[in-house]
Amino acid sequence: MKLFTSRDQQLPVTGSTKKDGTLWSLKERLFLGLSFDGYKQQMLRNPVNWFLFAILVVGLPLLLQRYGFGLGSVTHGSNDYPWGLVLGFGLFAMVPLSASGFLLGTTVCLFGRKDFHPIERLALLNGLLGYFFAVIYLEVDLGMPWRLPYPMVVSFGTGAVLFLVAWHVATYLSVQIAEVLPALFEWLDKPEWTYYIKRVTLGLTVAGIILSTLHQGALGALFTYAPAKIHPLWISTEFQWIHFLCSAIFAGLAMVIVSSTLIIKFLHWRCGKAFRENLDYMTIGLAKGASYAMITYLVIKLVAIAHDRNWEYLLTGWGLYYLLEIGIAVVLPMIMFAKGARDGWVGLIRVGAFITVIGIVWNRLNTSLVCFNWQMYQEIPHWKEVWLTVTLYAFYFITYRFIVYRLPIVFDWKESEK
Amino acid sequence: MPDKITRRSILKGGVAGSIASLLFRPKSSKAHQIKAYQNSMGVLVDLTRCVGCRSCEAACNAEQNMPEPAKPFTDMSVFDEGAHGHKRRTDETTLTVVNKYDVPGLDHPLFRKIQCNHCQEPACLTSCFVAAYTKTPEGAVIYNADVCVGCRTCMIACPFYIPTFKYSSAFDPKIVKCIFCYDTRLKYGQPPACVEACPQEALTFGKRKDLLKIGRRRIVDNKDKYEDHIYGEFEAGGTSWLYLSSVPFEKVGFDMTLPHQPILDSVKNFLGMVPMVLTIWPALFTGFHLLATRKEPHAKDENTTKQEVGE
Amino acid sequence: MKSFGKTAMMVLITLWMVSSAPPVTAMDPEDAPESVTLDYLEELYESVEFDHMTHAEMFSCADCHHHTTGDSATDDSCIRCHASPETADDVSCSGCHEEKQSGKARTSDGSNNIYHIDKPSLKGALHLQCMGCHQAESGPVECLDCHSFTAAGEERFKIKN
Ligand code: SF4
Ligand code: SF4
Ligand code: SF4
Repeated sequence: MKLFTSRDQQLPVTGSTKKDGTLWSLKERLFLGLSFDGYKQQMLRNPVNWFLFAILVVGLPLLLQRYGFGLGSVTHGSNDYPWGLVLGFGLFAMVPLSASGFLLGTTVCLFGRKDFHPIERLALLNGLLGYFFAVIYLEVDLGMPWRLPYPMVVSFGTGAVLFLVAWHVATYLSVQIAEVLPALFEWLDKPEWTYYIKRVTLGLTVAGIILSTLHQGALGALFTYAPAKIHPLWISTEFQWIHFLCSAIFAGLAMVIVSSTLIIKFLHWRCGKAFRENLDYMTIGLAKGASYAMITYLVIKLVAIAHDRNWEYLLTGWGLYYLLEIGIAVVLPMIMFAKGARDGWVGLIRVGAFITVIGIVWNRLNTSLVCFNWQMYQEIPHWKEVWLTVTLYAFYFITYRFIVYRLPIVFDWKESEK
Repeated sequence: MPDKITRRSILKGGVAGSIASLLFRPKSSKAHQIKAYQNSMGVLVDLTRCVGCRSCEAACNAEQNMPEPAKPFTDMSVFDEGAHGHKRRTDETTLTVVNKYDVPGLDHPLFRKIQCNHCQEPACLTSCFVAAYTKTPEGAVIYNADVCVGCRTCMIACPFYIPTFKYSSAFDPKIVKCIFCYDTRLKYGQPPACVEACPQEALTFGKRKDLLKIGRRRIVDNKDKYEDHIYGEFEAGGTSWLYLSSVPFEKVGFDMTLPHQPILDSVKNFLGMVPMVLTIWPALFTGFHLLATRKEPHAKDENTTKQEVGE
Repeated sequence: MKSFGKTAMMVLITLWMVSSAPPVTAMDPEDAPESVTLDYLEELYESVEFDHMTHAEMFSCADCHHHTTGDSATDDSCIRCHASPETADDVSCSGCHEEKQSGKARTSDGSNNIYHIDKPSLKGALHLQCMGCHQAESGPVECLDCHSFTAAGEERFKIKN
């Protein structure tokens, strides 16, 4: 795409009209202002697409197999590990990584930090897609995916934590759609439609905070249903929900840093002026926020160990593994964030953000798989399950990129005309 | 301290006093009360009697129309079949299994039948977000496949690893679990099929409270035969199926680390704070918003960036 | 005077009763049946021919019949009441042990008898009695050592021929 944008002065599409004043048609907007051949060409030239293609070639048949022959045909169908990699990653890791939406919404809208505005939409989109795909992952893992709406319309297990998760994720998903819609309306040249949404933004944001606090915490609380199955260092019946909520804060922030890094590196042509110029400053701000969350997290982790009197576990092999996780996934990036923020060393922050994101995935997988049934045996997911998880992530990536390519997420619509 | 705050008491003690009395209610009122059915039935499983004949497995298979097993029920080689170095467990083809334990220092093996324990406050039930489970007054924990969405949280929650999932089916999967023969027998006051089949009366059917008395009597009357413990009397809040053993329970595969409170209790910390968030957050954050946006914020003042971290 | 007469009367009556009552000795094993057919619960298995005589020669009646045959009970708990027992009207197992577990309130049998609260059903009683001893004395213990399947039994246990 870089090639095309350097060749054609009109590209990329950043507003409703071409240089000569005519409107971009919807088809042209979809094809990024390229001709069909040009679009095909840019697709084929991109090595990432070939990589994605390779994943999908194997992954799509697996997906069909799952729906045609049951979960047991693509997973180990384990009764001891009812939640495998698909959920462990797709729900328990995707959701905290998508906390970005409510965090930046709060920062910008609630605390009036307009200086973070250029990255707000990216954070909202990151949140929306993360939740949306968490639901997709769920749809693959649910035994009866066609009954997804049951907890909303057919039968209510109101006292269950998952009930809360279901309702909140569903509600929050709509909140996030509402928050991202303005970008779509602008792209469709219907900015007036955003009027009503703009009016309730504050309400949406506050709703976002409530719903996020509760369901991020609820995901942690889900594991307190298995207090005797998870290694005591990874489960604290008292504090689990705070652990999950707090780690979601730095996870969400780190994910925005990662995503913005990828965008500024590989989609530079797409970035608007405000985004380009403020990104370093905003990254530092995000890193600061994340490091505060991390130190808080470390403290409550410590409190949990003290409260449950789990000190002796620290000296076992599991304890070592625990310290390793805390060290690599939290302490290390926290130091990188702090140092990077103090010295204005954005590169360090970005590496730290990558580590944080992987660290969160690691933590959630530890809780849901590795340290689950710690006294039993370790479940190693079936390769098909791994591939399926990666396939769904590829879809996530494709959708993410598709939207960032087109909608005014990291640039302002009609930016050049202003 | 008055238990109910009436308008009178508010007038008398003043508002502050009433609020104080609300805040400092005696703690005991929060203690967990198990709302167990008084006449719940149960089964007392006496490990000292079981001979591992698998008659119960065969009976259950017939009663519940389960698929034909790979090996006949007379084949005792299945005792060595468990996966991952563990004993056999229930799966989508069987609601109950008998396992063999060679206990050091004992000249004969011990056998233990597992099936749903029909908890008094079932974790499977309380964790289900479509209320697919029901605890009947007779004591059975039954399951409704028509509303189940297949999320398998009940399998996560069951401390005894009992519910299993029919992973093999794409279009009609469901949770598979012992239902105490509720539909066919328990409802009519009859003992379940496995109990009736047991030649050794290792399984004794009766009211849970009577079984506890019987169990205690057996322990008292045979001092050196039994461990002084009835497994299930308190574990996980108490179960309808109870166990007696001649050796320490952990040696025959029982989880002795289970809390004596219902599993739900460990989730209550979270559930308890939900209404607080729902009521306090909106006001709190709207207040923050008003505070933060009263005057134009200084762009360089980053300390306010992530205030919610500390909440 | 009156009370003396009464007492003397009672002593006399008691003496008479004791002297004329049958001696408190156990039943004679020789009088026991040669063999007993156990067919109470045949459904999955054919009936079993129990060689009563052989067992009666090797063990004392009370080993199996508790106190009902007139021997004193062997179990500590039973001895509390049945130290000097009488012969019961019916000494067969089925005389006391009901065919099936009822699951009814078992803490009393309805007659204020709070002691026999844990009485196994007939099937349980027989097996507990036989297996307990066979295990201890290395007798045959496999199901099919004593039983043979009926067609229904083979079906139940999924025996594939
Ligand atoms: S044993 Fe498990 S499946 Fe059975 S009632 Fe208890 S929690 Fe539910
Ligand atoms: S109670 Fe019924 S369903 Fe449960 S194990 Fe026994 S026979 Fe099977
Ligand atoms: S039928 Fe009774 S003796 Fe036989 S294996 Fe089952 S519980 Fe044990």
